[in-house]
Amino acid sequence: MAEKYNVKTGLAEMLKGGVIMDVMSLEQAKIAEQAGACAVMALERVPALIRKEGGVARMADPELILKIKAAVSIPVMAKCRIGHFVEARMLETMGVDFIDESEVLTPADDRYHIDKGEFRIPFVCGCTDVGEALRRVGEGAALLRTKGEAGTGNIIEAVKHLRTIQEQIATLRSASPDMRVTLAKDLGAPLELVKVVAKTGRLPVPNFAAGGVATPADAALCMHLGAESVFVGSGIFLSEDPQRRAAAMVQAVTHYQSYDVLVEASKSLGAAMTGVDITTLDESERLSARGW
Amino acid sequence: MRIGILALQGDFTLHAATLEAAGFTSQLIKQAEDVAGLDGLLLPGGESTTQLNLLLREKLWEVIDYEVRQGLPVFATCAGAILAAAKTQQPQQRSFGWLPITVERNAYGDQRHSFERQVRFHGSEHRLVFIRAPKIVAYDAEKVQVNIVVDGLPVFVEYRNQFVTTFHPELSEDPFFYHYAFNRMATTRAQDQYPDHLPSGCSS
Repeated sequence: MAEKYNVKTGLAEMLKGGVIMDVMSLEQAKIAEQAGACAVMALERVPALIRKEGGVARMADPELILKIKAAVSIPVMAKCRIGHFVEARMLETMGVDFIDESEVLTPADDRYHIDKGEFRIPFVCGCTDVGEALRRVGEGAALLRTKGEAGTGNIIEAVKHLRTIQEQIATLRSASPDMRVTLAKDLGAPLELVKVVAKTGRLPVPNFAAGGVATPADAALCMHLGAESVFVGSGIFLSEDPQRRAAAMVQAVTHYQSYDVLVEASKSLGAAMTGVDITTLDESERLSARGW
Repeated sequence: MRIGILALQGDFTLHAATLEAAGFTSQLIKQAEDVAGLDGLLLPGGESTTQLNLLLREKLWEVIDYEVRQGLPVFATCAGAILAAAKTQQPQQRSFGWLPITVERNAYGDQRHSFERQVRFHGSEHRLVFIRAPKIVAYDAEKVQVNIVVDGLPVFVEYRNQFVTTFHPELSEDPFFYHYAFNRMATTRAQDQYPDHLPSGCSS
């Protein structure tokens, strides 16, 4: 890309400081919009349900996506499977605003991710560290998000990914030019992008938090750790009072540094989604291990 | 000059960086107490429904509206244009009603229809970036000055000490529009040319 910002990264910039909410129906999409979501992710099952029900998780029914798109005025995102460029082309054809090539769905290709630069629609991809982040940017992703561990309501993995990215950026920044080639090799990342990170001290595209965000405090924690927005998957519509929790999440992201606002926003929200202790998960149950 | 940037949601940090690079001081506005000692107000891009929602919830609405009606200069971009307009369409939603313009939201369509355009204005080239942009579909031709037209539609207009773009000067990191708006703001404000009241805002 010749310019620092284009229409793809531009939309990613517009989503900053906000909450992107997973929705499974038209009604949920409207609740999300009214609560102040800056975008919705249309899908058939939120990650916690995918985890519970098992089976192959695929792109949502086009009918559902189009209905949600017609019902709200905020941007609509939808997920395709890793490497499934046909699902991605279908999402592009339907006019979704952002495509999430997501590890939450069952991967379609065990070797290659989608060549995202070829699409008119921007992509968001999950990452666990700088190497993975830059590989996705190299493929054309306009936005990154941590993988976290989706559908667990447990923030530990998202925190780990945000911390790892911070640490690695600090290492790159202090590395002398002759060290960068080896660091790029170790990270498995394109050298040109490694140089950009070393120079600017930040990833080339925005990075949002995702995976395990269940409370306003979780959302604020991610913002403190460098996330520029927050995706909330199962955390809202599997909680006791989605409407109030959704509004509280939005407030928490805007006012993540104001603890009095966070206290007010967190009062009487009803029960959060039931969480999962990550250490009880089998390696095969870890969604964050999908993709590379 | 100290410019307050509405910082509830959207790309306010990029606006702050571009403003600072252009020689202004920026102040992020998240709460009512942040709206003090300002020489100008910038409304950034983002999602206007989200921003509106937070403005009303945080009681910032009244404070900002009061300051602007007292003469605080405004530069509103994209979602900001929707908030500042007298009327909004698709859907109709509450707005401050500062300028006699009617703005249609997401009027070009979804992200497939986001675009860039190169224009020449005031003797220099400018790259304009439109993201799910609104359209200024009507305006009071006697009061509103149209500065840039793209595909037959005004994309940069001014009214008194208020400036509106439907594109994003911060995405092309173009200091020109900040200087155009704020330097003029400095001039006009010093002359205190605004004794009469602005039009009243439309109700939701």
